Amino acid sequence: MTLRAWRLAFKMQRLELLLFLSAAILLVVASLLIAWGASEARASFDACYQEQGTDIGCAASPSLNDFSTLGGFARLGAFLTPFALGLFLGVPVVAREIEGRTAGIAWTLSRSRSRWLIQRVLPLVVVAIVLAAAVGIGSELVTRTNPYADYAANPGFADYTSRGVLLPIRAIVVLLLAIAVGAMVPRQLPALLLAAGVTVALFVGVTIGMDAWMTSEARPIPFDESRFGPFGDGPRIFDVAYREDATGKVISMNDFYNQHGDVALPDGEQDPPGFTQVAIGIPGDQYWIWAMRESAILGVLAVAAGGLAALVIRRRRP
Amino acid sequence: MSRIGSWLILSFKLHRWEVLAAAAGVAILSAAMLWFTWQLRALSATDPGCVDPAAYAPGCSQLGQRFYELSSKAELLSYLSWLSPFVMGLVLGVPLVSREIEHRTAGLAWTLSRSRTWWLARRAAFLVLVLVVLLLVVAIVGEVLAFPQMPAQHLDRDFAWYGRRGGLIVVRGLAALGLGILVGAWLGRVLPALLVAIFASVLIFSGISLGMDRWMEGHAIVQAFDADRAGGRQLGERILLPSGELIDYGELQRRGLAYEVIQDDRLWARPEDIGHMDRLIGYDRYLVVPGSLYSQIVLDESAVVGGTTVLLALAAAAFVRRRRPG
Amino acid sequence: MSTEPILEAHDLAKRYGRRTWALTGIDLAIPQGGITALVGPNAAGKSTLIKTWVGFERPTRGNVTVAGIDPQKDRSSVLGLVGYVPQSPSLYDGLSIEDHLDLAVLLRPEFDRAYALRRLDQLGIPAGQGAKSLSGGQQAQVALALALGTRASILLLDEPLASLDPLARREFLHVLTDAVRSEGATALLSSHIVTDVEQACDRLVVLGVGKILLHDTVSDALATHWLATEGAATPAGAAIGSFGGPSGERLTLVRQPASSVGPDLRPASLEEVVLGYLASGRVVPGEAAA
Repeated sequence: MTLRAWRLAFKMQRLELLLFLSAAILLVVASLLIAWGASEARASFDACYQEQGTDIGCAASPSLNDFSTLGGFARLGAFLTPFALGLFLGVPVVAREIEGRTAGIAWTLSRSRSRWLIQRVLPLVVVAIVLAAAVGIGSELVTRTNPYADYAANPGFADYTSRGVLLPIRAIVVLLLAIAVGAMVPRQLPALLLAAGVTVALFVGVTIGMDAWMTSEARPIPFDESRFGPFGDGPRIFDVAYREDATGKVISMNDFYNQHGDVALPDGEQDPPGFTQVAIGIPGDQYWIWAMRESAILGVLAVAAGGLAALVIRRRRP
Repeated sequence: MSRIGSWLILSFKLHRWEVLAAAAGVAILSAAMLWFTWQLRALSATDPGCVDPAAYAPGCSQLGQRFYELSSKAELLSYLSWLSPFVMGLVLGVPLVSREIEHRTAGLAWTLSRSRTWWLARRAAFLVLVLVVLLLVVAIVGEVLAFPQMPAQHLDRDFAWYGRRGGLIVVRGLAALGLGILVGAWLGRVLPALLVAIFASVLIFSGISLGMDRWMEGHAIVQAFDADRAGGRQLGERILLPSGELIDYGELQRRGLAYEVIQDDRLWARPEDIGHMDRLIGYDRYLVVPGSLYSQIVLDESAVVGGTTVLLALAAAAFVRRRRPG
Repeated sequence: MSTEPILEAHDLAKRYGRRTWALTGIDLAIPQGGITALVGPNAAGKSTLIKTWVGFERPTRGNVTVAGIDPQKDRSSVLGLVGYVPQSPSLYDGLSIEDHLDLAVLLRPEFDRAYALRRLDQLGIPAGQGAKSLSGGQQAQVALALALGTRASILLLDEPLASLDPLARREFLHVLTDAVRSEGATALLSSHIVTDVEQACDRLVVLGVGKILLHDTVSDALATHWLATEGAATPAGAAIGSFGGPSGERLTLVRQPASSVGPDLRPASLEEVVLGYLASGRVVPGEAAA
């Protein structure tokens, strides 16, 4: 890609790109500030905790709560970023050319529409990757400094869909899908609505599929009563069950109640006699394996969406 | 055909994609919500005692679990109800002017019409009609679902699902429509205008929400840490100083009143101060708007959002009057 | 000028939807070199025919070729030979003219930017100007410059003159004829303004509603067509069609070699030739069955 190609790509979608650039910069800066503030608040909390040996009083520190809330907003922004980027940058690529009647010139100047598509899409792909990755890194820091968790070293599956490597790959899938929909319905707003619907359906499907896959490989994880909840390293939990202490056999809650009926718990105990509650899920240290698996699936979907876009554009009347 | 009939048909044709998409969205959402309503009611009818989360009844585990699962999913749907006025308002409002400019039809439309304000009013009136009808459905279905989802609560005096049920949904949709029209007229390009309108609506509605919270403090009562706050809307924690002054945690920090220990609802600087009332920093309290004020607060917020809508509509009309047709 | 056909259509029919036929079985062969005018009323199918050659439209029946290549089978090779000016050319609002030329270079590396720029310079259109601020005539000139910059041997121009004022039309045609003559290219120019194409074009194709009514050189068309006023004797089988004259009188177009023309007939102008043929082939649009 030459500098000229970049300049033209920018000029053709200047308004959208400027908006996204500004929004991404704001989000990243906000994330960094939240991460920094949360770290400071947490450091002072930890000092208080160590001094007292209890979190009574320290836990009431309002800044922990504030940074946790702000972090939630930042993560929501990060979660939405790939979808917004993909849809708003992808839909107009073909739809606007046809709606603005410029496709006639563009598609005859270029000998092949695939070449035209590559010239148009490549800069957008790079922009989408860079912005989504930047937002993903910002969000990663917010998660790692979550004041109510110990995720500094390994957040595991915490905030799985709003941070890290999945954001850029999601942005690419949505971008290519939106281009294909924009080519099929060459009016921008209807195409945007349809693309949004298709995107939701696709990602709900992927999430359900991934959850089913993970569930099939889930295993019992013992509760680890840390200060900030039962799990320290961010496992992905799908269910809770009972493990029979004597046999080590895991039984689902439903099966347990079916077999034993409602069991009165002894005073001060959380588990029925002879059983220990365990979580069923994937341990946090397997995050990268699953992130890569999901990335591979999304990569295949991106290739399919890109192929679909190219096919539709090849056959499209301008 | 009557003038109203032809106006309706023509207006529909000009916005058919958006209107159909909005109607389809509302139909799917409403159908899903009504299905959950039916399911939750059926569960309640099986054993009403098992769906009251406040009461533990033996033999309820399975039924309670099923109720919990269903009501959690119903709660997710209620967030779509909350989102629907913003999405529908913007999707219907943004293209009204911007698409005319982008397609270069504004010149024709604005010379055929007696005045641009008249043109805008006719076009916007149709969208208002569509939006009100569709959002009324969402608002009513939201109410219908809320009752079996929260069977133990008196929802006519409860802030639960605030903005996810009832008339506020319609009013918010109209404000979003006004905002969409204004931004569309300003930018004159559909997708960038939609993007800007989304950002602007986040800012405006967050501002209104924060402003309402601040304003509601005037109606709020101070409640003890362990008081029953059912139906009320919590505005946050406050510290009641021994002097009777009520301050928030930020103010407490600014005054240098550092505390290390909370015992029950009492804040102490150090553990050794506990019990020495002369060293007490203050009491931990909640600021709560009572549920009995729910209807009044909804009306108040509706008035604020309605006023904003009028301002946005006037700004849009002024903008269209001065706008170059592209 | 070679007589080898470079643009061909064989039994070409194109239907939109279920019932609307834009073309109803056209056979046409346009020879290489010179400018051919494709003249016809609105909805005659001119744009459809040109778009089929560019590969934008898929024939419902029959086929077309450009220099022997079927654009449906090898669109890329066809586009390499063709420069295209679409109907009411729309340029990118956000780009300057220079940007458009840069875009053309990106899309087609062999695009002759300097040549296109020179053409625009001759017309006094500044390259730095934004496309949005150009007049309709200037936009058409930019679109033509983009087509010429491809240095394609075939130029397909889809009613580029429609919205231009007389001066802009003249300038456009001047640039086009100059380029075609100097490069030895072939141009097909669709229009419904006959007086303009008369000066610029070598050949004339009259397209009725979906069918070819006349295909001839401009000089032969002028040399073999005559007008008979109401009451004048017309040779049997020579009358083409009748239409109303400027003062309401009935005029009949007659095709006859100059050697056998009687005293009642006067030479027809090119516009009258076209009117006579259009009158002969008048069909209600959309009803022409293939």
